[in-house]
Amino acid sequence: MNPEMTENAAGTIQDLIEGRLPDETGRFGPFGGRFVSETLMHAITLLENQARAALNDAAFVRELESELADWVGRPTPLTEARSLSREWGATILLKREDLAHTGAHKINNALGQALLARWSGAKEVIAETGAGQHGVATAAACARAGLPCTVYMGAVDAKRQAPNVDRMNRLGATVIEVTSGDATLRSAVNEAMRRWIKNPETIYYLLGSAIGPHPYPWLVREMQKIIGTESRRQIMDRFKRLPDSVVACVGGGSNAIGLFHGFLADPSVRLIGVEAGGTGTDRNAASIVHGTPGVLHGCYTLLLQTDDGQVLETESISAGLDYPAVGPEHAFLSSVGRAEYRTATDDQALAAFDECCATEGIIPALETAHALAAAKQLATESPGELILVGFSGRGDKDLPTLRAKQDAPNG
Amino acid sequence: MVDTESIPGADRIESAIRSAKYEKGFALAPFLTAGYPSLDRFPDFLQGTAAEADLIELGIPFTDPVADGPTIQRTSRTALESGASIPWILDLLATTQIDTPIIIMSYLNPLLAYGFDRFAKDCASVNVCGLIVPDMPFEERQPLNQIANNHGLCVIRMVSPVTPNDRMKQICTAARGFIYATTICGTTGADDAIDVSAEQLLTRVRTHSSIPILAGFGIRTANDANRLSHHCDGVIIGSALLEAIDRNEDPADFLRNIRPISTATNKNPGIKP
Ligand SMILES: Cc1ncc(COP(=O)(O)O)c(C=O)c1O
Repeated sequence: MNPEMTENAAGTIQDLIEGRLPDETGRFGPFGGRFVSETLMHAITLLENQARAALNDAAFVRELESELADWVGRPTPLTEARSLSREWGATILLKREDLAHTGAHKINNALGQALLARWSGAKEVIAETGAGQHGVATAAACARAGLPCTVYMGAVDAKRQAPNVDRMNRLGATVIEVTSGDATLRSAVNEAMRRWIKNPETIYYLLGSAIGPHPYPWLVREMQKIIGTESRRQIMDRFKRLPDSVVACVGGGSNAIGLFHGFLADPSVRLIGVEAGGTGTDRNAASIVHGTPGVLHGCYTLLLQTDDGQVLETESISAGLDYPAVGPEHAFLSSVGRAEYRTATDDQALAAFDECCATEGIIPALETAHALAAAKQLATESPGELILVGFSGRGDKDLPTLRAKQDAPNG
Repeated sequence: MVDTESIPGADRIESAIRSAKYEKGFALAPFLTAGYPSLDRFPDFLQGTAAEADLIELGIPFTDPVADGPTIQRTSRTALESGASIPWILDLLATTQIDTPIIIMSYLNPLLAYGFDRFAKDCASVNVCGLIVPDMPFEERQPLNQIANNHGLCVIRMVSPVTPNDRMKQICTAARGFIYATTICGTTGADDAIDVSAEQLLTRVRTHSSIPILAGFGIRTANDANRLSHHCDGVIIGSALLEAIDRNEDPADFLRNIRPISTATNKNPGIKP
């Protein structure tokens, strides 16, 4: 920890549960804040004010709820994974965000923020995307809201998630392939921020995970916490009890934070975030498990970095988890011990992917497969438990990656 | 309190800018990416640049320079690949005689990794007068601001065309050394033509600031510099200088072109500092 950044840090899990975090500086304990250029300060201050006003505006909330129901298809189902439960020795429940419109949880946030962009009079929306799911969701939500949309996507990701590039184009978005830096999600965020800084007064930057400068980590979590609220109600209705563990994959951390929020105030429920273990301890994207505190993309959080404070390149088979930082609220939950974080490697995720396809008849996203791999591990560690898995998205987008792996001589 | 204390680094910067404005029409503050184009060649470029400069800005390369355009992104990557780092640049400054006041530009993360107090202390011992941290806005200025002040350094504050007036006033009141006015919204090295909005910004800053004002971002030619110098105390030139180095131009020649000095004619009818 950097003593400089933690000196005045306050905040407990009770503060978080009771809505006092993030505080007025945008912090969850020491994590978070607003580390952006002067040119963006006015824009993010305005964004926070507008977001708070919109979420308190009855007409705005009514429209959001009605669009979530009739256009997105919420509530999403809770599926009991009967075969996996039998195989793994625990009751595995899947919160099916793959069945939300456009195929992932990303739509909850994209729709909410697109409506907010329109509500606040923005002329143009920009977004970054890794796996392409947030890009597709934003393209769809902007089409629905009547706003022009540009999506920044790393060239490496555009190649490995090609089906999503086609979908964005069909939905009327302009896709800009980013070749700077490592040409993955982190570079896409850099480019989107550079575009935003040119026109901070007319562009709405629709950030896709619970990362970035305040108010984004808070705003994205507010849009995603419907996953946790619905899950808790569905489980209580059907099983008359709380789950023992709640498991979700963590890239920037939006699906996980949304799911966790439903259970924060239930101390008996273990919250487990799963980061990309890549090909091992040297090559991964596990910023909580392997990272140290630092500032990237506007917030103080946990990062994969060198001793000199240079941000490392990451590795994961999953484009959506391939990011060297993590949302500040997860860094906080980890630091106070309310949530646990572990990794699943590429190989573990691929094995869980295959099992899920073959026995449940569902093709998970490779991101989601990381959560499944951890659920399998948990079931082995404590058999018989009730485990809720955030099934963040569907895997059609990953078929080119899987095909390439299959065709590779040693894959 | 701190804001009115004497900060030796700030005083040196202010007087360097004021004398340049008086004697040469405007202050010239070139920016170099530390360690570009290579660790071996950088010291010569530093010397050549310093000879023509009233203030010199050295950028610590960072992997994710979100406030920078393509040129500084590229020079930063090259410098990192050749091994430039904070310890390297501080060592170089310790063994190089440079009389021009030095300002270090760095994104926050490399400074956090090095440690704020250690950094400010080491900077002060090698003639560095101030720091610029583009991703540390006014609201987040502490604790670095205080730590830097304790070691006699100031942290330069930036304002931009979209900084509202009340905020501009707050920033200018607390600022020391000079105000860095980014004349356009955007990243460094932009090639948008300098237009009337840049002049309007500088005029607006002037009403709030009693310390010198330097204009930066997208200043490429003698024309740009001359035009803006009527509304501020000097200009910062980064990307255009680095591009000149890429064309094998001598940085000192490039800077002499930006500000052809004939002391007699360029004298500003101002008050002698
Ligand atoms: C299906 C799916 N799950 C998870 C993620 C990871 O993002 P986050 O950690 O914000 O939920 C992504 C990101 O692209 C995704 O597409």
